[in-house]
Parts: sequence; C-alpha cells; structure tokens
Amino acid sequence: MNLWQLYMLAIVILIGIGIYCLIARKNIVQLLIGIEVIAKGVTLSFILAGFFQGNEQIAQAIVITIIVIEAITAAVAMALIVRSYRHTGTLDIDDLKKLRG
Amino acid sequence: MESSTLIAILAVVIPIIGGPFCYVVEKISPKARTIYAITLGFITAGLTLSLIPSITEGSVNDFLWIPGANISLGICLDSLSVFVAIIAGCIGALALLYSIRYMKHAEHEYSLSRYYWQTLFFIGGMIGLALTSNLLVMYIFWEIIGFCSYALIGYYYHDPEPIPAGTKAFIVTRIGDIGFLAGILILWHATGSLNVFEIMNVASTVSPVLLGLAGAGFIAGAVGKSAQFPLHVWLPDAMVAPTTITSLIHAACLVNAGVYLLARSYPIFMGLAGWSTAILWIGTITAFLAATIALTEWDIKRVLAYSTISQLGYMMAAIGAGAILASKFYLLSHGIFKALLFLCAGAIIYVTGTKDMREMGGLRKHMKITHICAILGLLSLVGIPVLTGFFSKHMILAHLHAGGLYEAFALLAITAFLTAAYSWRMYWLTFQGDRRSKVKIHEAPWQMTVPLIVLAAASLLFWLYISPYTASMASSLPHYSIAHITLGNFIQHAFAGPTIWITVGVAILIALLTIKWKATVINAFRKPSALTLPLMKAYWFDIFYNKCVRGLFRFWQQFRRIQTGDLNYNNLGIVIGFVIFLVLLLVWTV
Repeated sequence: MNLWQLYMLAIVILIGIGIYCLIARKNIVQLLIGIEVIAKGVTLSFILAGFFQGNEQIAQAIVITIIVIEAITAAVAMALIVRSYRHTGTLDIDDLKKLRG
Repeated sequence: MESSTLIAILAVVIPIIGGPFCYVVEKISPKARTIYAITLGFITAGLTLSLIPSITEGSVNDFLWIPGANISLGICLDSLSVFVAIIAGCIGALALLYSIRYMKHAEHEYSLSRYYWQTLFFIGGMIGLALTSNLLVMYIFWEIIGFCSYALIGYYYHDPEPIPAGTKAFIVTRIGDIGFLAGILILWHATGSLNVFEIMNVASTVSPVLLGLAGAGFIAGAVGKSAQFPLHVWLPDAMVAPTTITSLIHAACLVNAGVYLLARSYPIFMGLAGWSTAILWIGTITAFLAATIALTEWDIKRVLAYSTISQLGYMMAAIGAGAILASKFYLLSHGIFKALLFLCAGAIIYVTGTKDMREMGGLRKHMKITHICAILGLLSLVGIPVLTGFFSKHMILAHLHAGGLYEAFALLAITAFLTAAYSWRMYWLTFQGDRRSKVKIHEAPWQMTVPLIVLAAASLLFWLYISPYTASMASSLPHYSIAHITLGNFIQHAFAGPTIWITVGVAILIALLTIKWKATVINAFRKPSALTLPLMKAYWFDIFYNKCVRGLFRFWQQFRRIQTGDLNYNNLGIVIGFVIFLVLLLVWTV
C-alpha cells in the first residue's frame, strides 16, 4: 500500500466519522466536534492535493489559513452554544426545533 | 460617442444612480432632499424631451456587455421608444412636483427619501425599458419597474391593506413575467440573438411552433404588466398606493410597458396566425368588462383604475388590429389625461380626506381649478371633440371599422358609451350636487394645481402634434408600414368617418344622463340586484383566484412532513443525496 493511499483512507475515515456523528448524535457540542472532524478530513485532503500537484507550499499556506478560519468558527460556534444553553437550558437539538416548517 | 447616445444613457443613469443620494441629501435638510429629487426628475424629463430631434431608425449604438455570449446593451432611439420615455419622464417630473405637498403629511411616519428614490428608480427603469433594443436588458428593466411598483404600492406599510396589495401586484405580474422570460429565451435559442431588430429580420425563418410559444409568452408578459383580462386583478388593489404613484403606475410607467412590448415585438410575430387575433380579443373583452365594473365602484380611485384597465384594452385591441400608430397615439394621450385625472382625484382626496365618492359632492364651487381640469380630463377620456382623447379613440375605432373587424368594433363602441356613463357618474358624484360631508373645503395648493394645469393643457392641445409625430413614426419604423398624416387630413378624417356617430351618441347619452336619468344611474348600484351583482363583485375574479391559491396551498401543505426540521434527518438526506449523485456520476462516465 502506498503512502498516499493511507492518506486517502484517513481522509475517508475522518469525513465518514464526522458525518456519522452529525447523523447519530443529538448533543450540540458533539455535533460541533463532528463538524470539526469533517473539517480535519478536508484539511488533510488539501495536503494530499498539494502533494499530487507538486506544489506543497501553496497547499500548506491554504491549510494554515483553513486552520485559522476553523479556530474562528469553532470559537463562534462555542459562543453560540453557550448563549443558546443559557437561553434554553438544554443542549439537545430536538428541543431547539423552533424553525420547523 | 454621439451626443444622442450620451443623452439616452444619462436619462436612465441620472434617476437610477442619483435617486439613492436622496438619503445623503436628507442629512443636510429634508427640504433640500425634496428639491434635489424634483430637480433630478425635471432633468430627466428634459433629457428625454431633447431626444426628439435625434429619433432614428434601429439600434444606434451597441455597447458590448457580455462578450462571450455576444450580448450588448442596445440603445434604440426610434419614435416608438422615445415617446414612451418622454411620457415616463415628463409625467414623472410632474408627479414629483405634485408630491411636495401631497406627500408632506406622511413625513413624520414614513421615510420620504424612500419614496423619492423609489419613484426616481421607477421613472429611470421605465425610460431604460423603452430605450433599449436588447430583450434581456429590457427584461431587467421590466423587473426593476415591477419591483418599484411592489415597493411603492406598499409604501404606507403601517396600514393593513398596502402590503398584501403590493405582494399581489408583484405575484400576479410575475405570472406574466415568466411567460415573457420564456419567450425571450425561446427567441434567443431559435435566432441566436437578443436584439429586437436582428430577430425581426430572421423571424420568418424560425419554426412556427417556437415562434408561437414565444408569442404566447410575450402576450402573457404584456397581459400581466398591462393588467389585462384575466390578470387584471392586481391593478384595482394597487389603489392603496399614494395617488402620485398610482398616476405614475397607470399613466406613465408600469402599465404602458406591456403595450409597448407588444408594439415593439409586433413585426416579429406579425406573420404568426392567431397572434394578433388573440391580442385583439383579449383587449376588446378587457375593455368591455372593466368598463362595466367601473360603473359600480364607489371609490374614486378604483373607478379610475378600472377605467385604466378598460382603456388599456383599447390599446391592446388596436395592436391586435395592426394599428400600431393608433395604439401608441392613444397610449400617449391616455397617459396625459389619465395622469391628469389621477392627480385631480389626488387633489380631491387631499382636501376632503376621503376616497369614497358618497362623501364628496358639490366640490365645483370650492375647487374651481381642479374642477375645470377634471372636466377636461373626463371629456378627453370620454372622447369629446376637440380633445386629444377624441382623436386618438377615433383612430382606433376607425381602424377596426376599416379593417372589417365589426364584432370587436361593436364591443368597443358599446364600451365608449359605458365610459361616458361611468365618467359622468364619477363627475356628478364628486363635483355636482350638494355637499355630503362637513369637512371644510379649499382649493389645492399651487404645487398640486400647476401639474394639473399643464396636463389639462396638454390633453387639450396634444393632438395638434400629430403631423410631426406621425412623420417621425413613419421615418423611424420601417417594419410597421405607418404613413405620415397631416393635421388637415387628420381632422377631416376624424369628423368625416363613421365613428363620429359614436361621439354624437355619447354626447346625447351624457345630455340624457344629466337631464333625465341622474338618479337612476347614481342609485342603481347602491344595492345589488340580479343584473348588477356580477358587476359589483367584479365578476368574482378575486374570489375565484383566492379559492385556487388556497387549494394549491392545501395541496403543498401535505409535503410539510418531509421537512422534519430535525438536523440528523437533514444530514442523512444530504448524505443519501450525495451517494445518489456519485452513483449517477459513475453510471454516466463508465
């Protein structure tokens, strides 16, 4: 097995775990972790794409940017979760279905 | 760049780009903002008027807009487009002048900057729609005026009626707009061009099926925008807008767009069997039905609204009969006298504080200027010599008679009598008789009477312009076979033709109404009877559409179960969709 096949496997596993988490979990914090796991898989796929294209520098620059943006989104999401928890007293998304169409 | 091209661009850009700066100027003072907006309006009107000497045939200048698809902003300055732009610019400017006093009372509750910029946007949109030869650009401006009408009908958003009325106008015209867009795309597909003049030249090579579909789409667009049967329902409800806006919608901007579109695309679909007949009958039936409904209304603005629908029916019928010149001349004269009538109604509403004609009456002693202007407007609407309305209506009827379209001619002649009846009823209820309410009455201020006087003079004298008008139409529109008419010929033809008997009959009807049938006509619609019930219910159109929409709503309600709102299910749906997409992709490629 080649190295890049291992990489590919890792990407699929990470994204798969993240999506499974989004489908199976009800807790908002766990959902956020699932989203973060998907994002990690996507980041890894950027590195792999850079490796295939032969310009790792650009890939690394993009990855660093993604990590920064991820940190920001995670912080904003955590803030939203905390506010939502204080407001409603629950972390279960089934209790937050106010926008049901 | 030629100066005429520059003027044409400025006439569109100045109101559209300058309008939002009302908010900036408002920071200096509200008064400066009002002056700024009105100055912009008059500059636009002047620019459109200065286009008259440079009327030429075809597209004068094509600016390449999207090079890949070969789409350009065609500017066309033929007589068809320039006069529609002039009507929009000039009546728009007068309506803005009129707004100074009319809209003042709204200042403490609603933003007047919003009013002014949307009005300017509206005017600019209409001018842009008229001055382009590219159908896609025309469609963009078409949507701009649709948006502006929606926003301005809903201007008084604290009241309960305006918001639904604006939404109704938007949605009902949208039904037609889809047809128009589909028609444009079909023509683009069939001819590879979006330029009206290029399409005209190759229209005969397009397959009749595609051309028929596109023609039906264009009719749908015009029917929606020009409030024709059966999509007329939005226009009477649009009367909740400020009166200046209704006069713009009805006379200058919105409803003319549909008639203009059909006149513009007439050479494309000329050879298509049934296309003009369909327009002829849509117009004729609309003219007749709307006139009967106008007889029963008590709201002064709704009477005028149904009158507008009816008169637009005349224009459509004229296009259907191939009388483009008569239709466009009637569009201009109707624009003038209907703007005049709406502004008169606005002055009456301003001083009496009501729209209900049952609470008016006896205004002739107190509002002398408005009274005289309204008489001129109504006589023009009815078609009494020597006002513009007489000549233009005569042109349409004479053309139908000469073309052998006797059924449509008879129905439109009956409509002329109905027009006289409802105009007389409106006049008598508002100006004659005794005062029926205790409100103190005075003449409207000068900012309101000046536009009235200008428009009244125009509706009295505009027909004198017929010779240069037809000359420019004849020279700039080679596809339409329009002949130049001199003034002498025009007058002689109007008084010698068989249609003069309709005018005589209408005059006799008015005399009889005044002498004998006064009480009958006024009291006939106080209580519904078997004969008047359909008219008073406006032929149950609104109720029928409500039922339809409600049924559709109930049908789609059943699909709410799919939308669980549950995040886990939604994610599962996304994943399943992705997998299906992948499988499809694999099947496709392998």
